[in-house]
Amino acid sequence: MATERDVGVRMMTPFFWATVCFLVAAQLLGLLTSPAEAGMGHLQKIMYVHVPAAWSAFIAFGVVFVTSILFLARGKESHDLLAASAAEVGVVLTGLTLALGSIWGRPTWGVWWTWDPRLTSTAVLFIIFVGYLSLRAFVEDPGQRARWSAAVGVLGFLNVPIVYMSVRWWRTLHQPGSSPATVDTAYAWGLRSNAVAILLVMIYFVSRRYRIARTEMEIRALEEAQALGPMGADHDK
Amino acid sequence: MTNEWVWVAAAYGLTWVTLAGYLVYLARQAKRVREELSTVQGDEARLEP
Repeated sequence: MATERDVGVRMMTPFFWATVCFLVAAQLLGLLTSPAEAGMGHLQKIMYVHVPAAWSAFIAFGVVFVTSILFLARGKESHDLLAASAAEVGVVLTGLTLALGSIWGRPTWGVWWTWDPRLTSTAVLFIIFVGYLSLRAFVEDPGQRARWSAAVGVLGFLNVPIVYMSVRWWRTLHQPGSSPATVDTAYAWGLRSNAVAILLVMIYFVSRRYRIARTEMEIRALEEAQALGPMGADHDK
Repeated sequence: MTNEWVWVAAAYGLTWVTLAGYLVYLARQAKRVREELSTVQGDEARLEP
């Protein structure tokens, strides 16, 4: 019998508090220690939340890709639930990436939005995975829902390399991809620490969402066993 | 210069609001499944001879 502790639906875990502390420390490091950038001034500090959010969203969609393939190969429900959990968190982070990009774009480019290849491909990625979540919400048969969403998850991930390479393949307003290797050392540690912090946030969110989904699955199993009654229980044995 | 900090504050504020908002959503989902599990387990205990 699963207990409240076993099913892991607690939210305020030690990992949660460690993640919050790391996130606060990383943001303070980025905000307080990096100098104003020559071209953008202090607007550069938006990079510490915008870029890590995009990276963690890519990783979340990578989890969707791998677990969807595993589900299609092995048919284990846990893979389907992990894919769905990662997709939901990936959508939240991609939405945040787009919004932060707009906040950066308005003072630097003079527009909130432009149909630039990087922005457009990111918006397409966001829409694909919103579609993935909608599909899961509307298909009632669990087996069909899992198979269809695994297929969409695999195909949807194929857009991630397109988003990543868009600044190299096409002429774009968006600057080339930022990483600790391409930015000045004065900004590298702020970027690294915030990337780790947002990655920890993503892992925490996916793990909690997955635990909730597992518990929902256990509740369904218990309800079905109860509906079948003692004869159903005997049959299961 | 001040204007730049307004945009930076908006970006960090949006980040915290988004992450906190999703955390609240997950906490509500967790509370709901805890209650449902408790109800189902109670039903099962009553059904046991």
